[in-house]
Amino acid sequence: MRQIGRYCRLMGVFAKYSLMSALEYRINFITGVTVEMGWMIIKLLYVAIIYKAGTSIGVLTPDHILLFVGTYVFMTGVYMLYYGNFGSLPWMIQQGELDLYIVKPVSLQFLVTLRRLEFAYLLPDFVVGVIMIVTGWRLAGLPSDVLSVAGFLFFLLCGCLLTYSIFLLPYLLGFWIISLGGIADISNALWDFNNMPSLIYEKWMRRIGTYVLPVFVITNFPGLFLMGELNVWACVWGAAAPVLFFLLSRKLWKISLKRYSSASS
Amino acid sequence: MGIIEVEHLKKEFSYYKKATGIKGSLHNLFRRETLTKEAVRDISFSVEKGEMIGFLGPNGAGKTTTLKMLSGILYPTGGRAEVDGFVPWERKNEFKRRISIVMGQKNQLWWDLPASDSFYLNKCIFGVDDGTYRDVVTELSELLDVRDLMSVQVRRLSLGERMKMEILAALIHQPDILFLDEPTIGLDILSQKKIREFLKLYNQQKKTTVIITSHYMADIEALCQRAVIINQGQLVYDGRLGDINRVLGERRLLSVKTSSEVNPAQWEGFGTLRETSAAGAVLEVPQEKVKAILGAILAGLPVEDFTVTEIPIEESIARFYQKEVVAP
Amino acid sequence: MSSYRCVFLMGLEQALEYRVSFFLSMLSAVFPIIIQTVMWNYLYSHSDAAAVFGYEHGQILLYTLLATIVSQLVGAGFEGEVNGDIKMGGLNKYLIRPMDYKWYQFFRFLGQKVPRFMVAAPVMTVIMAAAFWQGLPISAGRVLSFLCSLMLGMVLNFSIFYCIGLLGFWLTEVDKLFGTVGIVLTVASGGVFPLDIFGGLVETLVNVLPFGYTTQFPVNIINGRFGWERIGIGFGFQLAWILVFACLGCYMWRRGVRRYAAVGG
Repeated sequence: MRQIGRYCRLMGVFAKYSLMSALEYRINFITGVTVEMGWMIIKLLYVAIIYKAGTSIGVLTPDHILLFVGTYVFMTGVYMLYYGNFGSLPWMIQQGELDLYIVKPVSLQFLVTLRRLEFAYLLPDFVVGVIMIVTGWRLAGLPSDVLSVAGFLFFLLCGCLLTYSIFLLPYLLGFWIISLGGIADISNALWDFNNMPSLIYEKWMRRIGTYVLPVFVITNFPGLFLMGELNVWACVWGAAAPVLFFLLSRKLWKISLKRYSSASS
Repeated sequence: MGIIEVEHLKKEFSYYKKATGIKGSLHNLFRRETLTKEAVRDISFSVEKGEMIGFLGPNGAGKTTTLKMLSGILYPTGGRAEVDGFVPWERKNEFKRRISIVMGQKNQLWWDLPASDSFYLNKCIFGVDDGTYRDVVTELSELLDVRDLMSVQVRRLSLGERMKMEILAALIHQPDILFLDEPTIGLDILSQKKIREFLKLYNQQKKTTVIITSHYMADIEALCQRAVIINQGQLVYDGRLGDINRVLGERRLLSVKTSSEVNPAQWEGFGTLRETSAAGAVLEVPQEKVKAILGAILAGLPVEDFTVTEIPIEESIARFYQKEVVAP
Repeated sequence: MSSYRCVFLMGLEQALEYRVSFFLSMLSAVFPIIIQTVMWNYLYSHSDAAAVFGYEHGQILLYTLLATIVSQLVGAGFEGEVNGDIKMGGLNKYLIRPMDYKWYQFFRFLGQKVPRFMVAAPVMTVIMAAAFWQGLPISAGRVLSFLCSLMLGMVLNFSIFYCIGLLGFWLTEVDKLFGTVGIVLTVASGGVFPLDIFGGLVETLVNVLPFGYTTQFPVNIINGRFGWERIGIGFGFQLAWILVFACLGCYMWRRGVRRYAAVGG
């Protein structure tokens, strides 16, 4: 318990310092916001097309889809908050920049992956995502009692942990490969599968995306729970998958780090 | 039993061979050649608590690699080491709290924030309590003469000031052992001197064990009673820097000034001729023969003046670097 | 000419340098195509989408398959370097060499396109063959027009981004916006979705503005959406815009270099 408190406090210091650093370069901050808004245009185009067609996807009306895509936009912001740390991991490994973090008596994975937070990306995604979620929720007439809201937020939280755990994995290859540009591209592309609700995909894809590499769980489970479309087993899986994948990321991190300690100079 | 015990430490790296040109790139696309480099071959030594020792050696000799193994950053390929009762590469948190490392080429400070923020972060990371933290920062900033710079963003500091801050940041948790890797690299003479003075004082006051690597002999000469010379991954000398000449066999440089030009061939018989000119010559001779040789020269040549000096330490070290000699 | 050849080869080598990245970047481009294809298939099989969007099912699928490839082929990416040369004084070495800067950049641009083109050509051939099999009106004339418009699209996009890069002469921080500009222009050129599906004002804008002529126009030639008359008009627009941006680039270069020399680099 004391450990958790310590990590929370450290997280607070990181957030504060990141924000202070960001405000040193206001133009970069604005740039970050505009780039993220550029990407958002693409995400919103999908919703625009759905509304233009006016078609439901299975049980999902366009209003439901607005909520699902809103969840995706929101989650993208959360992911982008710490994504920069993943992105600079290969560089840090090559330059031996991990050296000074390895000798700290705090989890190295924590230090390296959550040190810098990028609020410029979070901001537009957060604002637009929340607006889309709330609008979709209202228009679709979904329940807003305490249980529904709490469940939605719970699966949102699970999604955050799952995102971190799954999408760290490809960057661990940075311990072996010099250029990770392609890996980064492919994992980002994978992330974008959530731009549409999983119901649009074939059953076999949905199975893989839910149970093997559970990227669909991240942005679909909060909405599906709200609609009463999740049975008990799905709920259990939605809560278990983040834990399992987090443990996996810890394990693989440790294995990869061994490589750093034995191969680098 | 010393605070640091190292036995037969070894470290090998493998790396890829990169062919040049477009053909090479295409070739690399499919197959790469792996090569192995022995960075540290077989190193053993021990350090007593409170000692300050220096690792000397040319670039790529294996100094930094050794230091990284002792601080737990790298796993060795063979051999063992014990630092403050721990095996470094097991990386226990308790071990990490007792050591600290400063690397001249890397920085742990947040670039865009004042150094004091990075100190505070280290306080949180190492779990130092508020009172101790305040005392340590006050005392060290006084000693390092950086009190006025505490609220300046790191990126605005000069290289020397930044290094002082790096050292301060590394000492927030009052480690038992401090590793310094090229702490004075790229600094101006004055900053180098300041940092040396601080390290000496700190070592004396706190009895902190210090291991410092450098390829500036001046660093080691000023700070360390004991030097370890490493070359091509091997320990070639371990002892007092001032004793190097004794180890190499006591030889002296004999500079002789003559009133008229002497044929170079005439010098040859007296010792190893280092240089010669119209005005005289420099000879290298064994210490025990200085008297006899000098007598012969004085008798045979038009000597105006002469001096006898020790061989400069740099030169002796250079002979270790070139592997002309290996310590017994 | 041989110096341009050398620059061309250097660009080629750079692009081949990192093996894994190279393949994965290619692969990652496939993912959004899958997502979009799935979405279109769903919409076309569950509603009267052809009437809503103005594209036949086959046309929109072929569009989806080809737009990303075309977008990559015409894509720039050198504007940052142009800006850097202006900012850091790297321009000096070109000013004294008997080498025209715009041609230097142009041939390097082409050089870096070759590996992409080598991968893209067989893929496009297979796609077109499959589309022909499925009954799309692909003819030798259309393929030829497509290739012509693709080449012109590359030249047009080069001219546009060259001008954007040259903005660095006047706006010191403009490079910070290149990311955003890149995304927005990709969307505007129809690199993600054909924008004329939205009809009305959007369609008119797409037809008049230069951006659609880098990506959307070539693709709409090959998928049979445009008749020969429309293709003729399109080529007119494409050439006109190339002329406009080439002239603008030359004008900006002259004014910029004078300013650069005055400031002293």
